[in-house]
Amino acid sequence: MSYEILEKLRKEISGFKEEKGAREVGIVSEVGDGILRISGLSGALAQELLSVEAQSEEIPALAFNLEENFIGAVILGDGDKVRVGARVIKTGKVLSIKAGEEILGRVVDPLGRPLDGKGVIFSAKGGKDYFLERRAPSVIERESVSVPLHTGIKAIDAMIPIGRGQRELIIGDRQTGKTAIALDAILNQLQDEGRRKAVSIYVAIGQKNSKIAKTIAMLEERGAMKNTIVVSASASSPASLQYLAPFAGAAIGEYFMDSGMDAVIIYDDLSKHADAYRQLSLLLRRPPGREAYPGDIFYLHARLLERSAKLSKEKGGGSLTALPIIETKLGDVSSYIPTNVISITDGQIYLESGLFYQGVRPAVNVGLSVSRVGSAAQTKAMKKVAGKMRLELAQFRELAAFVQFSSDLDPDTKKKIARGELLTEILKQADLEPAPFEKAVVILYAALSGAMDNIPIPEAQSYASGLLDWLEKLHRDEILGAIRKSSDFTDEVEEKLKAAIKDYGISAKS
Amino acid sequence: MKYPAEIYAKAFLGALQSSGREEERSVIKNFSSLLKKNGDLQNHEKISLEIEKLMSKKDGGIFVSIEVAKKAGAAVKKLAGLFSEKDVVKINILPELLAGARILINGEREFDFSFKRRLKDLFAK
Repeated sequence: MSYEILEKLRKEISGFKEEKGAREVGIVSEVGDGILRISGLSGALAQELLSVEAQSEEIPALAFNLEENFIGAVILGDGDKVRVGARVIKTGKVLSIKAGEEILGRVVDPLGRPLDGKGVIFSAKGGKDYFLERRAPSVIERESVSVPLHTGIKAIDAMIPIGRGQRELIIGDRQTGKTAIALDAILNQLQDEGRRKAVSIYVAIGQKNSKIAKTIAMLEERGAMKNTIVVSASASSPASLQYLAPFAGAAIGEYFMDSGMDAVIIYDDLSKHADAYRQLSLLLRRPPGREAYPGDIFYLHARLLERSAKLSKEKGGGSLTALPIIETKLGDVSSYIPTNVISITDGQIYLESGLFYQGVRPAVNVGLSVSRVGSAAQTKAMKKVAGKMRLELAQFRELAAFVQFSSDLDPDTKKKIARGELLTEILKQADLEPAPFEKAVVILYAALSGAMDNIPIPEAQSYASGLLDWLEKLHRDEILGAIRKSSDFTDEVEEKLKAAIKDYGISAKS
Repeated sequence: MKYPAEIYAKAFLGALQSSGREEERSVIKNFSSLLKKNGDLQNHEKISLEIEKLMSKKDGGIFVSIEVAKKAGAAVKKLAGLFSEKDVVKINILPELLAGARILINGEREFDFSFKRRLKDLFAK
């Protein structure tokens, strides 16, 4: 048997035509910390995928720095297997990831390799290659944001509305509920009817594996994973993969956008992404700038976030909404990376640890949060109901400062303060319990119309949930269904809701 | 290494060029003390190789690295003899090639006639 195999091998070798031409190669002259210095290979292109011929396998690397005599490259595999003197060849390709419907519900690394143990994702011919680095859609290919993306968080959907194709930053200190908001938005996509269901992409950058596992388990448990893709580059991944993760997520998102679908992508978080890029840049000996970040850190995030867009009808009308997350230190939003990303995005949701510890959760600081384009996408119903809420809360904040100095207030001021306290209470929401927009509309109407003015603050939440139960049981189609279907709050529905609230008040008293 | 070998080589040749023949000794002495000061004395072979490369390039020659699996025999010597006197030819023994030879010209064009490559291409088919 072994003789036969040897014979076959001999035959194969004798018939083997050798390529006699020279090939262009580079030689690894330095290796360490996931970085290669390669001599030769003078024709390599920036961001070109290289192949390092290590002892037992070929390891991919990415050309990063093209210098006079050297190429600085980042290893995209096991760097320990690469030795000095190893040959490096060009592939003529740039990094890409396979995307398609099959990737839904899967957990992948930034190179598209499955991490969930569920086997291969694509068949041999399945999936479409999408470049990790790709030009953002041009002005002509875009359309204004017009369709809302409901997060299920009352405070956000009412006062800081997000539109499909928008880039809305979630910013705040550690442990203020940034990820919780993003996860609520993912969960809410399942129950948001009346619009196309948006596919969710969650990009975990530099997080603990245990936290990522917990997030995936929660999404599985609530049935949201079938509509979600997780791109994971945990804290134990090399900096090169952490750097690539958001670009891989954006490439997957672009597949859905180009297919005429809607997608929402969460970059959790870009502070750690900036840190990974700083690490790579310093190891590649690029000159450090402010806070030791390289000079192109703004461009890095700008080109990433610019890829989120609402495409024109000619281009299929798909959209990619970005919810980048930034972690601040001690509430300092004026440091380098936060100010960069604030200026790139179309608004920010600012979470404050002070509010969080006061029990205001989600701890959204409405005064510092803004959505620059989302109001155009807000549903008519929400606009009608919550239009003046921002102003009322702003007045409340202003007056609340005076309360500390004087107890003798005029009735009008007292009323405004009571209304502010009621609204603050109503906007509180438990973690992972997104509220469908029609229910948010109804509750906010009840609070703003004065129907809840006589309800003591501690009882406001139970009154609201009781009212929702009442409406669900007795007026499901005529009120909640009507708002959901038309996304409008007509006079007819308003009259019916007024009557229903009145009836509920009478029944609650009895 | 404080500076890459090529930088040292360029600096050394630059200094030699700008100085006269009588200063040659002092340039060599200063260069050696610079290597000692920078803690790069142990890399002198790398630096010498780079100097050699640059000198042959300047004279219109090429730098050739021939890698063979076994101790250089008559065939390898014949192969090395194909190159001109201006060229720098280095022969290294690399048992992992199994048989045959690999020729690298100027550090970036390679002719690979090794058995290792043949096997690799065969199994990659």
